[in-house]
Amino acid sequence: MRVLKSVTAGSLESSDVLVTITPVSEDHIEYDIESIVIKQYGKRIRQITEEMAESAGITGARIHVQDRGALECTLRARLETAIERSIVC
Amino acid sequence: MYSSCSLRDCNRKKYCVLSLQTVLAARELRWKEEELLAKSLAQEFSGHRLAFAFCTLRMPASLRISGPYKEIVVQLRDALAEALMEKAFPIIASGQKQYDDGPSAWLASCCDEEILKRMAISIEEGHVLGALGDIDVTDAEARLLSRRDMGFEPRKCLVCDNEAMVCSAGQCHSLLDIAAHIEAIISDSMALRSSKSL
Repeated sequence: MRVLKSVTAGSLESSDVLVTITPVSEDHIEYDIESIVIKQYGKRIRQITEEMAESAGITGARIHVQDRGALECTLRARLETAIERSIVC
Repeated sequence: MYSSCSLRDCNRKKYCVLSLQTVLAARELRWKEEELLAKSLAQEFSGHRLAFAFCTLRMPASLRISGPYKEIVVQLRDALAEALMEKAFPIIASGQKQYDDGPSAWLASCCDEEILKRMAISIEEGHVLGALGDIDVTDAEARLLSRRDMGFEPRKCLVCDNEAMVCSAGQCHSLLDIAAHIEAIISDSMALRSSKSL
């Protein structure tokens, strides 16, 4: 499923995460992960982001995650919303 | 009582329980409204260098919507306003709003955003209730300034001495433990106020 438009979900408030998805011309997915707790949770954030993008089956996208210390459930909810928004016309 | 709770629930529980959906929707709404506000005031006062401060409560959402804590954001915003006025920086607008996940108070000033951020950090660290507030500062383009980018230490946890974000992301402390520490900070502030009034 190809990403159709640039979207965001979330915020840069403390304990939240801002997910930005933008279409790219290639078929692959680019990941850009930023987090204020990158040392402690960086690997997990990347793993969840990749898992969710792959299971949604999206292609041709750059996913930028700006984490401000979000819980895992918050990250998952923001990713799900951003992916849904990115594929709706 | 919180708008989406039943009266029965509120009578039974000490603190309201909010759904994740409610909290996330409120955060996103506040974020978008703050961005719109900053951009519209920047347009209205074009030619002036504007900076914005948005104050929310630094505690779990179920505590944020409990009555006793609502006034804290206004007190911290007003303390910041006083600090700005002491330095002769004009305040062009201010306001407050209750969101589904807690209260918010804000102000806009004709001030360099880095100066405003330094003042906000002084309030967060020096005001007797400062530990309970989060004062986000943005420029006129609604770009958030971070402590880290300005060379300040990250904030400490309310309960222990670790970095707040690490404790928060790892849910290291119970709600009751956090509430007890908040109550202690409020008690200290009330004791200080009554000693000043003597």
